Amino acid sequence: MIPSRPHALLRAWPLAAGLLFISSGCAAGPAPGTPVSGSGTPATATTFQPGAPGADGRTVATRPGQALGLLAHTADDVHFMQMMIAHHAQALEMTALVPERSVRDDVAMLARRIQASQADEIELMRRWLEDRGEWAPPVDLATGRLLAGDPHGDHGHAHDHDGHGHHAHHHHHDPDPDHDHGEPDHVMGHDHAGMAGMLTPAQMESLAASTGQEFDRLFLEFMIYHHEGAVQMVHELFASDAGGQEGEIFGFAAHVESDQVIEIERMRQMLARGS
Amino acid sequence: MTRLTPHTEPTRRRSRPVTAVPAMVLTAVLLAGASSLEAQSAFTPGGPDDPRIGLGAGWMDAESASWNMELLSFTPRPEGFYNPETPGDGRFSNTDIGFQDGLAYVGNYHGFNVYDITDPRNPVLVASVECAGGQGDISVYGNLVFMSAQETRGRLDCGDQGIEEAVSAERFRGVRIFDMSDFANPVQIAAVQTCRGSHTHTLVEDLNDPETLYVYNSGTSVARSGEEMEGCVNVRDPEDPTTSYWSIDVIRVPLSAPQNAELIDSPRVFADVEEGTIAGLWTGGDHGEGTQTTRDTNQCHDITAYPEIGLAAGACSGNGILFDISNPAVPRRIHEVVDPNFAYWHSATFNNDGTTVIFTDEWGGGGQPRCLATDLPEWGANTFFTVEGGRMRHAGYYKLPAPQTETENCVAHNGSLVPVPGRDIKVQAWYQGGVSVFDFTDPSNAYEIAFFDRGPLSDEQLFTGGYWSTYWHNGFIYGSEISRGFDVLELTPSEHLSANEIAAANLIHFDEFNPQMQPRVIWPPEFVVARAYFDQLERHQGLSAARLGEIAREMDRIDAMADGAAKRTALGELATGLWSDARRISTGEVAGDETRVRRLAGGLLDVATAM
Repeated sequence: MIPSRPHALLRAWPLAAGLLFISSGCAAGPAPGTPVSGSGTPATATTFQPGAPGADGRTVATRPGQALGLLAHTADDVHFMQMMIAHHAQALEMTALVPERSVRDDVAMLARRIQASQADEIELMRRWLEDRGEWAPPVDLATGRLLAGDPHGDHGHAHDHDGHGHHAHHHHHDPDPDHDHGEPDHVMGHDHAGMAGMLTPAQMESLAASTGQEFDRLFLEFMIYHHEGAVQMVHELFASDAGGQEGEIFGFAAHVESDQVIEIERMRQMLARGS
Repeated sequence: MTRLTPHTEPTRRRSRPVTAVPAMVLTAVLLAGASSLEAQSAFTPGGPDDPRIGLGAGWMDAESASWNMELLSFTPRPEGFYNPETPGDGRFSNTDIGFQDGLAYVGNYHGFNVYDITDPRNPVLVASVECAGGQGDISVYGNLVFMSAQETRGRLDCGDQGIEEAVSAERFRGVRIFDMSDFANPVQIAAVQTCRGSHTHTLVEDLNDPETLYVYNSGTSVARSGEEMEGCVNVRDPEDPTTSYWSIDVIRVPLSAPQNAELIDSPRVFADVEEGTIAGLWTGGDHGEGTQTTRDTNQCHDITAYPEIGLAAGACSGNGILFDISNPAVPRRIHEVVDPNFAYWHSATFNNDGTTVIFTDEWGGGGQPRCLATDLPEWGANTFFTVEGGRMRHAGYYKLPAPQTETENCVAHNGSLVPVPGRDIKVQAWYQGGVSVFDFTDPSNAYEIAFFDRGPLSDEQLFTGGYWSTYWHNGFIYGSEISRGFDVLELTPSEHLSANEIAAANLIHFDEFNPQMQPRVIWPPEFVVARAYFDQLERHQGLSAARLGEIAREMDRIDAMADGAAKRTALGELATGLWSDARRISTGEVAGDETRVRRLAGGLLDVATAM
């Protein structure tokens, strides 16, 4: 998402710079005590890039930020984010079952927290993907259901976790324009390869069919399993070549990992405590 | 051009939309601050008339509001250190600041920039260093610059192309050391690798060994594997005694050969020795119904060392920790606290006496809007603890009083003391909540005395932005704005802070200042310090109005005298009179503020003694 106003303003900077120069040339700057809401334009010093210890550095041409040969996100990153949205969505499906079935206050509170944090994170992942022109699986945050249909005619089934689908990793990078920004099958439910910790349809059904203490026990067991899967996905991202390096995804993935590890520990304690 | 005079009412500046205005108007907007709106009436910070409410959005042209402080200059990030397409490109976020006489080193996820700040109204960029890896937490010591790198894209050679392999000897995560003797040729002389990288670091001087500097490193990220760095164990399990979690790092820097800096220890400072566990502190979770969920303590986020009192305050995820650092090579945990309102213990600041410590809570991680009107004032706030005999006792909270919008990330963040004698005052960054200056002399009754705030970067979308750090240094307040640039501000006199108090603070000068290595402030024996004490006594009505008037007249008379025996005698007599006032207060003979009366007497006597 590119906000139009700042963008336009920045285009105006060079113009402002020239006038500022003139202005500061005819007076010694604003009088003392005079507020200045913006006194400058992006300055340029010779930019230097040091080398590794023991090696020489070099001066580098100053390039506009967006043109820098900076590390961009990779296909692994996009894959991770799309999969993690689907993964989080299932957590929301699970927490949506809690109010009508749980008899434990601590489980209900835990579920509310998981619901809140994972819904926030889905939004964050959606924004990350859309900012980069990548497709984000749409999720109904109230129910955790993946919304969109399959571009190839099948309907997306969030519960279709049977793993029969073909591997479709990164096909959104396929030069075939038909595939651009499409909805990869592996996200929409045909194939959860790479998505550890996803519950099968049978497991979701048994969770939905249970009540009371039985539900609370199952919920904790399944959520532990589900969280462990998310942690595993983060580890796989960092173990992938060049995955998880782009700054924002690095921060996000590290956050998911540390958050869910803590929650796993909490849930284990709750499980051990019984009701 | 609008001239603003010191005032106690807030100023609000409205910038016009820039896209549609001619160039000359744009210049006027940038230079003069466009129209200036005085608030209709007095207001209470955080009340419905607070001018920070409803400020117009914009990246470089947001509206702003200020109260008892003034923006002197604003310098956008240099070319190559921003993405003109969006303010939300985290690869170019400005971060922390380190200071040297006349220079500010501003960290950035992409490297760092050095500004000559000799003229606070016109900072001049003097060096730009590219070295990616985030988050660029920065310190400066002599000709050395220390910089944190935490991300897996970090490279030993400062390149920004990342690393192709999951395991690589080229990857760098840890603390870099640059020799900045020549701004045109910064040399990376050491790169100390750590298992969890470096999120923040803290310089710690050894008062007994000026040849050695220590660095406490706080890694908060995923640990790497032992394949990449020997000894690292990426297993987050406290049962595994080799795990790279549940520790901080201690780096030793021999100043005669800083290239030999090395990691000397990763002490288990969170251990419970009796229980035999390395995870001896907060294990994560809430504190009971209605309380905050606090992260577990397997890391410190930041540590503030105060070498001259032999203590460091660790903001360590789930706990606030007091360390004895009298031997800086071996930080020893002496006390720890929890706070049921805290989500993530983030940073710390001592008052100058070391009798109060402030911890901040980065609830939401800094990227979330946590200053909404509906948010509890104790959440995402500062918590204050008194420190006595190495133990901390909770005293109160302070949160930015003005509610922010849903597109403004806002929570307590980095700041430093404003060295006003006789008071504890801190200036603090609140991301898009702006900068807030508050008095915490009584840590159970902290209150705001000045602010500056811009409207959101966007009113449609939350971009992580705002102030990362705002620090007072040698008379000015410097702010690193994540996606806008580098600001210089100045306090203006008000009913909450007199011109004398500001002048007394401005006596303090440090050739070097890294806010996480807190220096002790000692005020020189100047008359204006005594005047600051008098203003405080008067503000607190610490003696009868008649007696205060008498003292004021006598102080004016003495101030006008030439230095010499007569002046000394007059100072001594006034001090003696104040001591007898103090005695009468202590016996209940008259009402008054004994502490502040004694402080004024002491200040006057200091001047006499130094003469």
